[in-house]
Amino acid sequence: MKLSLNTFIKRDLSYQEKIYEECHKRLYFTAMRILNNSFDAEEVMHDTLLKFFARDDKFLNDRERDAWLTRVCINQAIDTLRRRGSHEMTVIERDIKEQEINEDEEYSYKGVTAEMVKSALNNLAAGYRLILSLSLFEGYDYEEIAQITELKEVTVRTQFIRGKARLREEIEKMKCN
Amino acid sequence: MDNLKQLIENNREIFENEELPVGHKERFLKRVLADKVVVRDYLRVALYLCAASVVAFLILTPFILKDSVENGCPDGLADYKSVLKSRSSEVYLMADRLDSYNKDIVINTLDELVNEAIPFEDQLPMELDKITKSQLSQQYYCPKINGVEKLRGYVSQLLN
Repeated sequence: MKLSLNTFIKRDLSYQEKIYEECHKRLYFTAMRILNNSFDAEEVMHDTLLKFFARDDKFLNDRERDAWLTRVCINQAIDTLRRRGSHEMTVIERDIKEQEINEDEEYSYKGVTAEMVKSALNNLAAGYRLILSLSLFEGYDYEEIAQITELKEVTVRTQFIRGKARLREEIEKMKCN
Repeated sequence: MDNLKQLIENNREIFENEELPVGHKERFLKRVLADKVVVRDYLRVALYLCAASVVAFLILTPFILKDSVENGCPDGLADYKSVLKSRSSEVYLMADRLDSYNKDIVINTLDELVNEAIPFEDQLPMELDKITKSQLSQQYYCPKINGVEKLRGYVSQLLN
C-alpha cells in the first residue's frame, strides 16, 4: 500500500475536524464573552485549536484537554484585548486598594431574564466583563483569576464586586425601559 | 451559590445560543491546510538540502583529501623524511627570490626544521617492526612537515 504525505495529511485532517466539532462552540463563546466581537472571537477560537494541534504532548483525558483549551483560549482573548489597547482595559490594569462591599447578596434577580443578563454583560466595560466571565461562566476563583489576569487577588475581588454593581445598574435600566 | 451564578447556570444554553459567523469551519480548515502546506514545503526543502549536501560531500571529498595529502602530513606508511626533504627543497628555491634579509631568516628556520645531528631512524631500536617505526617517524616528522608548510605560506606572502 502506498502511503504518501498527502494521505497522512488527510487522516490528520479528519482527526482535526472531529476535535473542532467537539470543542469549537465552547471556545467561541468563551472568547466571545470576553471580547464581545464575533470576528475576534472566531480568530481566538481558531488560534487556540491550531495551538492544540501543534502540541506534541497528549492529555490523560478529555477533561484535562478541555481545561487546557479553555485556559489557552482565555489567554489569547486577553492578549487580543490588550492589543486592542482598549481604554476599557485600563479599568482593570489599575491597582485598586480599597475594599468594596458586595451588595449583590441583597439584590433579587426575580423577574430578571437570562436575555437581560446577557445583554447587560455586553454593555459592560471589557475589564469588568472579563472578570465576571471568568468567575460566573468559567468557574475560576479569585486566586485563579488573579493568576490568569496577572492582577492582585484583592483587585480581582474589587473588580468583581464593581462589575456586578454595574451589571445590576444595566439590568435596572432595562427594567425601566 | 450566588443568585446571579445560579441564574446563569440554569439558563446556560440561552447564553450560548447565537449562531457562529457563517463559514467559520471552512476558514479554520483553510488555515489548517495553509499550515500543513508550509510544513510540507519545509519538508521538501529539507529533503532537497539533504540531497544537495550529500552530492556536495561526494564531489568535494576527493579534493579535500587531496589537499590534506599535498599540504599536510601524509597518512599511513610513508617515507616522511623524503617528504620533509622535498617540501623543504621547494621552500629553499622560493627563498632564493627573497631579499637577503628575509632569505637568511627563512633558510635558518628551514635548517632548524630539517637538519638532524643524528638521523631519527638511526636513533630507533633495531628490533622495532616496520609499522611501529613508521608511526614513530610520523610523530617525529609531521610537526616538521607542517612547519615547512607554514613557512612556505609565509614566503609566498612575502613574494606576493
